[in-house]
Amino acid sequence: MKMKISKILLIAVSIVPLAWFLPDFYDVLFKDSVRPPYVVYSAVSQDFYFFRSGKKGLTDREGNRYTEQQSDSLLPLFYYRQLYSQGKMPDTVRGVEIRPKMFKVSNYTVRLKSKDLDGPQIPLQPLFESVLRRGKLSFPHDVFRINKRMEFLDCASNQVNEKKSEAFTRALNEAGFQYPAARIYGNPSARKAYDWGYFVIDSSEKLFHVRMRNGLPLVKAVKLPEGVKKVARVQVTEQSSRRYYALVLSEAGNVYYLRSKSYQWVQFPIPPIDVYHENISISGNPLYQTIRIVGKGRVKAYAVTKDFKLENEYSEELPVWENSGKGRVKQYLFPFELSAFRAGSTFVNFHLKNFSWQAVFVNMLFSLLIVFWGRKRKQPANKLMLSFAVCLVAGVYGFVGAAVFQD
Amino acid sequence: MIQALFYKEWVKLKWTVLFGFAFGLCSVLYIWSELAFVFRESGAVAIWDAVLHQGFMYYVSFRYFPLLMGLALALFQMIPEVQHKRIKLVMHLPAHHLRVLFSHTLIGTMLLLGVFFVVSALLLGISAIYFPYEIVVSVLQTIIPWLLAGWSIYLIVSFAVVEPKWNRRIAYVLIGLASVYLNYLYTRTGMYLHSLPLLLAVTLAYLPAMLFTGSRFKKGVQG
Amino acid sequence: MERILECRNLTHHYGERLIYENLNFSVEKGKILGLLGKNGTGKTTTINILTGYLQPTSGECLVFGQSSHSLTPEIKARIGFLIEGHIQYDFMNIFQIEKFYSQFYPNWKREPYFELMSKLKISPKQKIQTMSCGQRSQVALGLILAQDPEFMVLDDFSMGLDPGYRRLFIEYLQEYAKAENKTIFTTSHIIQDMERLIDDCLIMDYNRVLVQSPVSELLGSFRQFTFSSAEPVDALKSDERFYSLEEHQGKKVCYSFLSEPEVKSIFESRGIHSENLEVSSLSLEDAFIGLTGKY
Repeated sequence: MKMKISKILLIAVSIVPLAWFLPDFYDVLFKDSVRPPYVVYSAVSQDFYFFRSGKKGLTDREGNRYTEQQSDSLLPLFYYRQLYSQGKMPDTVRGVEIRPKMFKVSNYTVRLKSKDLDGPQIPLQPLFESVLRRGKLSFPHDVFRINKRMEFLDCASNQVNEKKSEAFTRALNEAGFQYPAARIYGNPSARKAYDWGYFVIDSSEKLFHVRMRNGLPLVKAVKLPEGVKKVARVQVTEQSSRRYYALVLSEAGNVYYLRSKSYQWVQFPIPPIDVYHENISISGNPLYQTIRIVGKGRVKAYAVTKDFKLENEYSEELPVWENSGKGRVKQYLFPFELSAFRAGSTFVNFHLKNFSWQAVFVNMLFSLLIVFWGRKRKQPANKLMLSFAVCLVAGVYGFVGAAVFQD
Repeated sequence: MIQALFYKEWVKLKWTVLFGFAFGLCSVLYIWSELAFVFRESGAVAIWDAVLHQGFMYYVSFRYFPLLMGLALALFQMIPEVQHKRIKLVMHLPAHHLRVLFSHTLIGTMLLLGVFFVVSALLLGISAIYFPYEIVVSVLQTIIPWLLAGWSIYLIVSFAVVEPKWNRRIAYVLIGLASVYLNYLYTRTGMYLHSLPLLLAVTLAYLPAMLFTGSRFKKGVQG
Repeated sequence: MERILECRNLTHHYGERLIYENLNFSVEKGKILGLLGKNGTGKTTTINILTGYLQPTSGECLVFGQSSHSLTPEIKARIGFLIEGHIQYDFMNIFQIEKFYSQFYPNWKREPYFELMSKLKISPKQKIQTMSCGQRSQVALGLILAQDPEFMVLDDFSMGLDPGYRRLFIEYLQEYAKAENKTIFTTSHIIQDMERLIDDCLIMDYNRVLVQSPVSELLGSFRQFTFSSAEPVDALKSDERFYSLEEHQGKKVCYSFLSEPEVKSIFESRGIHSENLEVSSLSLEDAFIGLTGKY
């Protein structure tokens, strides 16, 4: 009896690594990764163009290829560096005068990966002094936490700075903050031009902007956009235009910018995205913002003007490897596989996924095989039943487990 | 019964345990001296920033200590028991043979976890000198998968050593290594936090494994 | 008489290979039984079955009336087991190992153990692994004596021992067993040792038992017949009453349980004219070879 329990446990526990390594090994051998095309928007023709892996140069929706010269004239805002250096940059694009300085102010890229919604993070952040000294940001000597109050810890002594903690706690209290902080967003790096502090979600899902100016707290409760109950993510942008504080994704998938100073919201005129499964990147140039969304087997792109009007959109289904020959074979071979990550998180979170009913046939085959083998070795019926059941449920993993832990 | 077996295991394993403990102690002291050095050289702010935001793991040399300790303990505990079929002595003791075998696992586990506990506590203790509890907690979250890997490898190698057949032994060790490898797949601080229950369950599933191979020996499976 | 050990219809295969079929034997209380057989006849198999380290394909082996494969702790405490090669916990010294075992046996008798140990020329803290084979055998024997079991199983006790230790081992054991009415089941490579020790013998050949009887009975009835004869004697080879017929230096030799007149009349009836028929009684080793052949 005790032996039987230990045997069943061993078979069960051997399925765990097998369900990881065998499908992984299959992928290493046979899986071709599908690279989504890189989508760019032409301000000249007002349409989308593509850089596709395996194909040289720019293509359009129909797949026509463009020469370097054609590309340059289609995408002056994309190739502006080369065009300026060659002296070929047009003075106006779509009737708007373009000056070199505009790129420095308007160009930016924000990339938000769905997996970064949640992850292992040590909840201590440095709060930068937002008034620059000699035009530079300097790394503070302390970090803060917001639990029962806001506390600053001095790095060198590992002790709480009471005075500073009290001042900031008071400022948070006055702004109506509910402790503890649920999430804290910011860029804890001195390698940026200036600092816009942190956006903190409190325990009642309200948003606060926390900064330090001349060593004093500057806290503002920020009203969420109409209809937004929960913020999924805040990306403090700290762009050179200083136009926006942050890019905000609501739980429902709407994308907003928070305007600096006025704290007004502007919403991107695009359909909501799936924040748990879709990666979003936004790149801006002097005339447009191009939004690219990749995920759930699709690439989507939107061209949005500076005043947030949708000008054009594009959507393309990506080929799914699972539907290819090798991908289908995999579904027949493996009844499920072990996955380390769940959508929207970089925590390792082992779980079974890709359950496949097609694997039933192969499972049956393994079941019969192990019964046949057991009969040859004159195994009693109850042991055969166990092996049979294990193979039927866990297919090849069960077969290996039951074969290795046969008594 | 268990006291007598503990006495035997202690006579057999005291040097392994003390050596392992000394090794763990040295590695923690090494980590401490390194940490003290970088604090002097680079200053506290840079180190805190590195730990908080750049994934600096000052205790990374601790990563394989539990694994080595578990492996050594299993080999030094079980090889003398199976050499010349000495395991017959244990099974002939006036107690149920599976209880006697399981006691060996429990005693080894106790010694192993004892060493892990003391050495880990020291590591967390020196961490607490330099860092706040958030970082100490993150260290704990990061080393638990390593400790579980050490415990797993101890259990896996123990039951594989008791197995009479060589080809089976190799198969057990391969599957066991694959299972332990899951604890080392990802290296960033605290990544396994939500998987700790699963990793613990996998380790616990190996706890009675020696009953399986011990029973095979008892049934007379030949090597 | 009370039967301490009883094996009934024991059959064992390793895979397809048959070791033996329907083996039956028993050991009575107070007897010393020796299991004799050439290599590969199943001595180790039998020892493993009766000590519970092998499940026979079929049949059963009862020790104190319990199946040897699932002995209760109480029964195990009544059985002393000497593993082939006098294997013990050789990372311990003689005091540690005594301390270890004594906790398992309520009737532990430390005096005979330390009496035996006092005769060994060892330092008190010396580990068993650094002792000579002979010294180790004394430790293993001493532990069994201290356990004071009613039934002892000694697997190849003479292995690795020099003649002095072998003699010591046998004498000590024999004296002890007779004085305390102990029962012993033993095997040994060295049949001379067995002859000194055992009361009954069980001689195995491939797949069967040749003889199971008291040694005195075997040696009293099994004889060697040496003779010269002009006629070929091949006819005797198929006669099961004769064993190991062979020619040696012009003389013909065979073995049989028959008496001299019976042998003579068989020879005559088969037309064999034997000259100078010599009958000699045998040592146990000669009898064993006579029964099983040299090959």
